[in-house]
Order: sequence, then structure tokens, then C-alpha cells
Amino acid sequence: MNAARTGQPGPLPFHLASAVLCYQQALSMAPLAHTDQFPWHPDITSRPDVPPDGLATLAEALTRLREMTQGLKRWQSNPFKAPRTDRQVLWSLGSTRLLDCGSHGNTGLPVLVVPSLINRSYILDLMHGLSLMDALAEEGFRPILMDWGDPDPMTKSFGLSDYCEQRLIPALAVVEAISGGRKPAIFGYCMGGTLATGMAARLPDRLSALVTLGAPWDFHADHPGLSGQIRKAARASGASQLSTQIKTIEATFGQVPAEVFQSLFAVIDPLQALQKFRRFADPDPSCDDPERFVAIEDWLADGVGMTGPAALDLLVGWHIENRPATGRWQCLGSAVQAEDISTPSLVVTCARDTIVPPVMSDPLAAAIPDARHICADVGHVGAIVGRSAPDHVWSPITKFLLETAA
Amino acid sequence: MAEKADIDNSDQRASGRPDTDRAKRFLDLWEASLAKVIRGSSVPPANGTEVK
Repeated sequence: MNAARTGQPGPLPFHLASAVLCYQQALSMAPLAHTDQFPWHPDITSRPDVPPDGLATLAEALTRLREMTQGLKRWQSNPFKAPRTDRQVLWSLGSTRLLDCGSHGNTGLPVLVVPSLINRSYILDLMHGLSLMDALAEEGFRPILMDWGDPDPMTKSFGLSDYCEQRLIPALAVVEAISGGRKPAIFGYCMGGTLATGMAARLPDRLSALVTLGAPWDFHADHPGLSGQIRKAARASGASQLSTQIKTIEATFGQVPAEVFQSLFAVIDPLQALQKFRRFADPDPSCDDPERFVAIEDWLADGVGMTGPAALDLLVGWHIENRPATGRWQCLGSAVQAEDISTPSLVVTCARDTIVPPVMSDPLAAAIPDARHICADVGHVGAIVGRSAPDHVWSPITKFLLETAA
Repeated sequence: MAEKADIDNSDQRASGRPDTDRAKRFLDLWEASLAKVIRGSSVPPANGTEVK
């Protein structure tokens, strides 16, 4: 293979095995496809009248598996390198950097942008022509992107509240210093949205607006999909077992490696790699956007680890104990109560999100008094870099910020 | 002989288009069914519209 990159959809063995298992199950049950014994989902109403031919089904399954690996090869051999933006570093501490994404001489209202801690921040500024940061700057704002970087010796013992206290608070002070006396806005994506909510709750006088996008809040909300079942199983096994596992991983690796989170994402949607790489195998550029695909896959493969205490806060404190939605999440010295937030707020949730489904993110809109709520027809990553993101997500966010800044 | 056998098999597959089409449709339905189990069958409640 003439590989232009060595990244993989992680963990690759899991994705390949899931694809094989998917078709193996289909083949074993194919003779029952036309009967009530076949486990069709109730929404599938147009069912076969006769069972498919076994050999033809095997041949088609092998074709689809081959297409998946062809799509993977097409990505890995693609020479495209995303033309990354070059941003001025406003402030740094350890591996954390604060990136000025405003255009040169931009004096617009600063927006402190808080990404997730379990993915690289540059998804919000993916490349020239596909950057939510540029979209904000084009509307006159001065987006300032928090780049958490990798866990380092200074952050090794950081829990989520430490990241707020020792990284977001100093970052906010830097942003305030360039805001010309105006209160900056804060915008958080994924768990960065939950952290931004904590900031807005604890610092009511320092922020002019709060925007969250795909931010989880109610971790016990019932979700019928696989992610909901896995959360239920994790809750049933208890906090102490998961805590022990996380501490063991941290003791072994010095942090919770990116591969752990990539595995969790893979488990909650085991068919995703099969389906997207099959689609990407089609070389017809009219039905695809290869450069967007390559840039996003490169980002997905470029994972980042998390400190042990932060992973405990996220996976045990949030996912198992549901601390945010129950008013028990300690941030900046006391418990966060979303009901106390008086900052004008916009909560954007994503209807097709499998990582943070709307049942987990909608409750934040209900909890913040007078919050505006938009449910966009996008997925978790598509909300930032999908084809419909500019219309369904970027535009409502900039519109809200323009209204609150007026 | 092996090459001849491959050609023969190809011909047989080509002559069995209805089987191939049925197999494709079955696997399409199977993947859609699995996806609904995995992701839940919720219908997007809104399409970029303000709900509150």
C-alpha cells in the first residue's frame, strides 16, 4: 500500500471484526429472512418475501467487506494534507495554548471557545474553508480557541474542576484583557460545553453569553440505542469497579490513553467504520467530498489521552453518578446549579448524535432559565464540519451571539 | 483449469442477477435494521428549528 498516512480508524481490529460479524450473522440467519423468526427491527416493514440465496449473499457480503478495505486504503493513500490555519498563541501554560482565531486587527467581541478534553481542539478550526472559528470571525467576533494539548507533568493530577480553575480561569483573564472592557462570551463543544456551563454558573458577572453545542448534561437519560444500554450496564456494575479500572490504566500508562476513548466510541457505534469507508471507496468525486473526509479521518485518528483524575470525573462522576444534572458536580469550589445561570444562553443539541444523543443534552436547555434551544439535524462531529453545519449550526450560533452582543 | 473454473463461476454469477439483487436488498435491510438497534430508532425532533 502506498500510504500517505499511517493513521487508522481506532481500534482497527475491532472495526474489521465488527464488519465481519455483521455479515456473518446475516448469513447465518438469511434462511429465516422472510419469517417472523428473523430479528428485524420493528421499523423495518418492507421485509423480503423469500429468503436470499446463500451463495449470492456470501458474495455480496465479501464485496462489501472488500469495499470497506478499499475505502480505508483510499484514505490512507490519499495525498491530501489539510491546509491548517496558523494562529497566534495568546497565552500558554504547559501544553495548554490559547489561540487567537480572529483576523488580523480584529477588535470584535472575544468568544472563548472550549473544546472537549478527549479530542483535539482543531476540529473547530479544521482547515482553511472549513473552520467554525473563521465563521465566527467573519461575523465580527474574535474567537479565542482553548487548545488543551496533551496531559503533561503539570496537569497529571488535574480533575475537571482543576482544568477550569487552573486553565480556563487564567485563559478567561487573558481574554478579558483584550476585550476592551466588554464581557466575553463563552462557547463550549461536547464536554467543553459542560465545562463552559460550569464557568457560566460560577462566574455570572464575567460572561456576556453562553453557547453549548452537543454538551452532555443528563447522563442517566434513557436512550434506546446501544450507547444507552452500555451506560446502563456500566451503572449496574457500579462506580467502584470502573474507578479501579481507570486507576489501573493510569498506573500502567501514566494517563488514560486515547485508544481507551476511541474504543468506547467504536463500541457505541460498531458499524460506523464499515459504512463510512464503504461509501468512501466510491471514487466518484461527485458523490463525495474526499478532502473533507480525509481531514476528518486524520483528526479522528489523532487522538489525545486524558489525565486519570479527569477520566474519573468524566466516566464515574458524570456518566455513572450523573453529577451535572443532579446538582452535585463541583466546579470552582461549589456545586454547579444550571438553574442559577442568568447569562443569556443558547443550547444547541444534535438530533443525529450517537455520542451525546439529544436525551442527554436537551435537559441542559430545560435546566437553564430562559435558555434558547435549537435541535439541529446533524451528528456530533457533523455539527462542526458536516456539509449542513454552516446552515444548521454555525449560522444560529453567530445569530445568537450577534443578538446578545448588540 | 483453475482459470476456466473462475470464468465459469463468473458466468454463473452473472446469469443469476435476481439472486444478486435479492442478496443486496437483504443486506441493505439488515444493515438498516442493525443501525436502528445500535443508534436507537428516534426520529430527529427538529431540523434546525428553535424548540424553546
